[in-house]
Formats: sequence, C-alpha cells, structure tokens
Amino acid sequence: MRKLLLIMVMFAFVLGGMIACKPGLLPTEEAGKPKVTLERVEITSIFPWVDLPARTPLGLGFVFNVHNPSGYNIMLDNIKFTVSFEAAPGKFIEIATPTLYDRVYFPPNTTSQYRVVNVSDSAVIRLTLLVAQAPKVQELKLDPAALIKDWYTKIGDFGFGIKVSEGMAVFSTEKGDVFVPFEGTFPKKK
Amino acid sequence: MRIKMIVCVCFVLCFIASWAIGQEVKLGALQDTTGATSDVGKDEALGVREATQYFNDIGGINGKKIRLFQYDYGYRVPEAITTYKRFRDYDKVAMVLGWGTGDTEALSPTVNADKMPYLSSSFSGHLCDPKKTPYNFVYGTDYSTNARGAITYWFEEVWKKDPKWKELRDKGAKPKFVCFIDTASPYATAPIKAIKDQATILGFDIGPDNHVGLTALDTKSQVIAAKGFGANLVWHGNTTMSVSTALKDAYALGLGADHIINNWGFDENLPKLGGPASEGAIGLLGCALFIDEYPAKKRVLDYTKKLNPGVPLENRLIRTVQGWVKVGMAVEAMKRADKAGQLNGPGIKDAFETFKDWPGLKEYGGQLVTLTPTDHRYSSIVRVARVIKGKPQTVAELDMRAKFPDKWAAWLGY
Repeated sequence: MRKLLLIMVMFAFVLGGMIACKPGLLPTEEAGKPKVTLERVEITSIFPWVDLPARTPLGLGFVFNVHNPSGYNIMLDNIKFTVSFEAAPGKFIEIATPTLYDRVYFPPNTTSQYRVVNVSDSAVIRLTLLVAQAPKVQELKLDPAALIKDWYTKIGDFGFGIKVSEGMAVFSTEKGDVFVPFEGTFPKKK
Repeated sequence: MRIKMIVCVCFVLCFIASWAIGQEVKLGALQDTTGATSDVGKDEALGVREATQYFNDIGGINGKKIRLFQYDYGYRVPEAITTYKRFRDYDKVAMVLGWGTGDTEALSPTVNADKMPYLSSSFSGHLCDPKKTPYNFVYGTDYSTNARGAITYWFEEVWKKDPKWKELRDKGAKPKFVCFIDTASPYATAPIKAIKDQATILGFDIGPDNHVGLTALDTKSQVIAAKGFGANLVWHGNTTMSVSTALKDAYALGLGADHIINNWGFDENLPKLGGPASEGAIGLLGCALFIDEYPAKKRVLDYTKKLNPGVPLENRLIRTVQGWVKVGMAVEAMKRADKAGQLNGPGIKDAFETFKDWPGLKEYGGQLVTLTPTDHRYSSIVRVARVIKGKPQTVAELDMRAKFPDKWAAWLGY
C-alpha cells in the first residue's frame, strides 16, 4: 500500500514536470507575444438617415485577427481601442472607445478571429464632435452636422477611412499578463 | 500512514494556493468618453485603467487581483442606471467608481439601499452628508467648498489688492458677480447655492445666471448680458470646452471681468483652447497637473506608456492623475476592509470612515483625507490656481474650515 502511494506521488511529480515544460515560445517573450491586427470593418446595422437632432443608429463590427505564436493557451482578458473616422484626407476624428471584458481563450500556434461590435448613433457622434473633438473640428473648419451626414452617406461603400488606434489587448497567461498594443485602418491602403 | 498524510497535506496546500491565486475583487467604473463631459472624461478613464493595473502589479487587494469593468455611458443617466444594475446583479462588484453628478445623485437612493460603496467623480456637496447618502464618497474637495474658496480667494487677493479694481474699491462699490452655467446640468448647478451664499457673506452684488450649454460653441449673448450687468467676476461651472468658449467670447467682447472656474473646467487644455483669453483665469485643482512635478509622476508616466502607448503624452491632462487619485482611494478602503475580514459594502464604507489624515494621495498632489461616519467631505483645503504665461499654476491653498470655523459644520451637504 505504502509503495503504491509512493509510486503515485512520483508519477504525479513527473506528470507535473512534463506539463510545466511545454514546448514552444513563451507568450511573455517578444517572439511569442500575441499579435492583434485589424482584418476588416463591417456594418452590422444601419438605418436611413434622419436629420439631427434625431438619432440615426449605426452598428459597426471590427474583426481582428488574434495570432498566438506561443506554445501556450492565452486568455484575452480585456480589449479597448479608439475608433476614428476620416474627416478630411489623412485627418481622423475620434468617435468612440469601445472596451470589452470577454474572457476568450486562444490556443497555441493559431490565428483566430475576434469581432467587436460597437453601436453608436448620429446624436452621440455629434456630441463627441462638439465636446471632446471640438478643437479638431474647429481646426479643420468643419460643420459637425454636415460631416456626420456625409459619413452616413458614404459608409456603405467605406468611402472614407476608419481608423482603430490607441488599441490595447490584455491577455492573461500562466506566465503572466501580456499587454499588446495595436492599430489599423480600413479600408487598407492599396 | 505518514505518506498518506503528506499527500493529503500537499493536496490541501495546492487547493488553498489555487483558490488564493484565483480570488479577485470586482470593481465597476462608469465613464463618459463620448458624452457632454467627454472633454475631461476620456482622459480620466485612461487614468483609472492605468492605476488599476499598477495596483494589480503591486499585489492588488492584499493579494487579490482587481478586475475592473469600465464602461462608457455617454453621460446619459438611464444608461448609468442600467450599467449600475449590471454591476450589482451580474458582475457583483465590491464597489463602484462613478462619474457625473446627475447619475450619481440619481443613483444615490439605490446605492444606499443596496449598501454599495460609490466613489464618484462628482464632488457635489450633496453627496457628502452621510445622514442622507451614507454610501457615497468623493475624492476631491467638494464643489461647494471649492466654489466658496475660489470666490473668497478672488475677493481677498484680487478685488482687495489688484490695481485693476482700485477705482471701484475706492468708490466703495460692491463687486458684481454672475454665473455662467448649464442650468440643466446637475454638475454645473450643484455649487450655485453655496457660491451665492458665500457671495452674500462677502457682500457681493449678484446678477442673474447665464445659461451656457456644456456643448456651447457661442456664448456672445451671455457675455453681452453679463456686460450689461457690469460683472466684475464670473463663475464658470461647466467643463473645459464650453468654459474656453465663454472665455474667448468674454475676451473678444471686452467684458473686463475676472473669471473663476470649477475644477472640471480648468486644466492643461484651457490655455491651449482659450489662448490669451485664458490668461489670469482662476481655477480649482483637485491634484497635480499631469505636467507638474509630483512624487508619483514616474509611476504615472510608466503606466501611461505601458497601457496606452498610442495616446500622445502631450494630450494627457490632470484628469489622468485624478483617475489615479480615485483608484488609490478605493484601493486603500478595500485593503482596510479586507484586512478586517469585511470586503463587502458595509465593510468598505466603514473602512473609508477610518481615514484620518490619510496621506496616500499626497504623492499625486491630493490632500490629506479625513472621513468620519458623520462627515464625508474629503478635505476642507481648496487648491487655487491661475493661468500664468499660458500654464495653470497653483497660487494658494485655503483651509475653509480654519477660515470659517463657525460655519463649517453648517455647510455639510450644502
């Protein structure tokens, strides 16, 4: 009985050791760090334009590629990024900062897709343009209401750039937390 | 038998260790990053997130990780109420970091019934009387005390000393005072009763309020009305964007009055937006400016770079530091509650009420904090600053309790 228990304990140690010595890159080292890239932007819902101050909702989906080059499972703990619309050639204005707290696992050596849906409306965008983004709007000498209407008219064809910036994805791994900054623009420049 | 015991002990230890590692404290945070106060709210939200990560990196709440749930409610009260219910019913947070006066005051009866500690960015004086709002706390000198301090400072240091006002002083004129506020905003209106009371105490002539929306892009008619009254002093109770608009219009139309500004309207952006119109403006600071030198600056900078490397440092504001102050105060209360074995609503409330000259916020330029079961005013110290050569600079600290000892008790909840 005593021998059997001893064997079981030793077996447990060996098994533990094998699990601890997983092959592959560590998610905490540079080469093993996950990478987040913007694959595309989708329109998840859109409604016919109604002049402000009425609200016209707009749902946008942001599809990210999450590449995990490490040999470990990693868990996305939270993700946040800022969405900007192109107001003039090369000039972007921030619209929203979605933040999510979904716990999603990404297996080793895989690239998976993760979609974030952000719902906004023309009145909320107008408020952002009038307050937080007012200096930029004034600098570009733009009329907020006309600009928003123009965006709604063109967004079906992605007639202006949509930028994701200030992105930060926090992954929890058994080797510690990993912070991954990211940014991207859609449509991608040809 | 001995081996059996060893194996059992190993299993028990492993179980305890994994349980301890897996423990976390949930913290809900309501933010405005897209609404009427997003000019100051976005930066505060960044600070809250960065500070939470820092406290997690140094051990969280006595070894328990803080899990932050931070949501933008766009300064819409119904959305704040719905998000609060999610915090309470699904996320089961230990406490909430709130934002605006409207939503904090609207939620106050609910959080107090729920025994949910609620530390808000609204420093409304109405939230400081524990007889009415026992679970509400603020992390800065309350708006009413601040407003009283600002008008007192101006009266003593500017009206009585500045050559600009000598002629009127010599004539024995009363200073004429008006308020520029969003009259529909609970934030902007919260300290108006107090500042008018203080104006009366100091012998001012008070003119009619001028409505300036939080999103105002033109305030010429309000400035003309104030000019018609002959205002010498204007209180600006909005946030930075609309305050800068009013300062520019006042400058352009030659109002000639001095300006005192509530803390959410006075920051590094004011001189950037207001230009020469903001020079000399007097405002209130709750802590150090992002650009100042303060003991915790390196830590704050390190975490801005670690968590938000995409946000240019030149765009960061005092609001980032305020986020650190807010989280720092919440963490201290949760640590004390946890040590007492009471990491729950009543335990956190009791822990807050043990703060006595707590110096933890001094490293962010905050004040010593004293809270009691009968008084939730964070401090009686009012930090006054002025825009000098295009930069906000602290010019005085007034202790309103020491200055008005006979009135201090009566001002609770004002």
